Amino acid sequence: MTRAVALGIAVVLTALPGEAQETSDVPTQSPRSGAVEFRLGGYKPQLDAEEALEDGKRPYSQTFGGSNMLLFEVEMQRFFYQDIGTAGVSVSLGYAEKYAAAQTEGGAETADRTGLHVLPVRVRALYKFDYPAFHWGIPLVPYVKPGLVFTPWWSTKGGEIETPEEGGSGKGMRFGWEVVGGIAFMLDVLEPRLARDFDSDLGVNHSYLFAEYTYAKVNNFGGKGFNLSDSYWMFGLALDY
Amino acid sequence: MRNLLFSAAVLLSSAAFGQFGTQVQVTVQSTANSDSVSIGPSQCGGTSSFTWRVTGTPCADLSLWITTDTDCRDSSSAQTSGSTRGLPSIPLATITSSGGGATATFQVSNLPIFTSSTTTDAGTVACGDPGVESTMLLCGATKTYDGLGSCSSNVVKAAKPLSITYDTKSPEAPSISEVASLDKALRVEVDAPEDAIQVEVVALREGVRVSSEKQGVNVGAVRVKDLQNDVTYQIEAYAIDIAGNQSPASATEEGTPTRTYGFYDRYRDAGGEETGCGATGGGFAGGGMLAALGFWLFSRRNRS
Repeated sequence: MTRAVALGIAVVLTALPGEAQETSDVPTQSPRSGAVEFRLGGYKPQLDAEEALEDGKRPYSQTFGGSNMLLFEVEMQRFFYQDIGTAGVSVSLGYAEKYAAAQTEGGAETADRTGLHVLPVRVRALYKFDYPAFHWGIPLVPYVKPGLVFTPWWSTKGGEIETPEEGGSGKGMRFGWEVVGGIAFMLDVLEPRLARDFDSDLGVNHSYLFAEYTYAKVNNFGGKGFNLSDSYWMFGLALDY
Repeated sequence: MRNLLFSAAVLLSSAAFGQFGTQVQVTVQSTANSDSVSIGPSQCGGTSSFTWRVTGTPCADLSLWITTDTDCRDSSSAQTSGSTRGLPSIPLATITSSGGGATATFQVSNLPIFTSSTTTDAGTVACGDPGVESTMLLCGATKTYDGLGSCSSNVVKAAKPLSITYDTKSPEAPSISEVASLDKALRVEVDAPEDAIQVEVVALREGVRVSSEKQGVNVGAVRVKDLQNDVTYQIEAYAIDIAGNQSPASATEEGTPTRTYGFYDRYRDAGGEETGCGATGGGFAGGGMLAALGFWLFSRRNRS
């Protein structure tokens, strides 16, 4: 009996370190230095809001019917501070286009096609308040991204850059600034094991779905000409690496 | 002793096979590496190119000839029907020095379907005569070593001769299904015949050609540019086949370009002050700088 008890104690003692190791939830993470984001959203430049336009004339709405352009963007971020939240810088490149039938002077549609294309390029600072997500397990990360925008644009008719009889060239570039605020939902909480595999296999520390609101003033800081400003929502996927 | 003799025979024969027994193959193709080529009347005064290739170890010159026969035989003299014209042979030394292949040419006017003053075996039409569509074969053959190392009578022919189609038959005239007005241009929908590879649309003003546009079939409507708004043009279309033969003109249609307003036209017309600039290049330069910055961001990550 004594021998049996001794053997049982020995087995339990031997098993303890293994159990401690198995239940340890100290994550082994790869270094986290940046992120990449992919996002989509409806963008409608405020071209009809230009003060110089004659009363009642709204060229964007009259040509394209007033609907949004579908804007797709890719953003690369680099983190420089990671303690109480994360701070860094980012660059992003987007593209949107809108096509419609060119019109006669009276507004009737013709066989010609006209298009407006924009290629917004953004440089931003960023701060993400991800401390609660990493330390308290709250999977929501609010963030803010102020930055500068410059947007090459071009307008085509019949596949060629427009050159109106009134003068001007249908291509150019506008500068401006913007502030973005958003909230990201950390997907890791849904499948923690998969998230760890994602990190160990591909180096992706965390993945998020996010929604963000952009307030952009893109009118050459109040200069005359195109007003590519807008306030709009975008939605996307972010991957920390 | 018998075993020794047998072994010696096997060794000798394998050595001979190693030296002379490499399989010889002959290939004749178009310069575009296809097994067919089409020739039109515009080439009558000139030459047409083809490539030949001989692999392995031949022991005789490469004979080349063109025949109207239905297949290639061992030599030009062995062709049993149709007309045949020989081409200059490729000497064995040239086969070796060229690395086993090169480009050669033949005179288009010397094709065997054409009448000739120099041969009795001549065709019945002259180069450039209209309405001719004939297919010929360009054949090639050489000889190979036998197992004892001597140049045998075994002839190796090109497995697939080059098919030469001489075609002066015009395609059917296309039809114009729609002419739409554009700004200083017209958009013309053309229904082309099956053998056409291109269509050409011509705009005429009082019978004088003003502008034309040529494009491949099945790539959409043809846009005829450089026209004046509010002027009526007569529009004709032509189909062109692979040999370059042009069809008769389609039935004439009319079209009148009209001014259209694109987005930026409409904007400027409304008093908008954006005049654009040539700065799109600068924008791309800026984009390039940002791309470089992004690359830098990623490269820093890779070093960490």
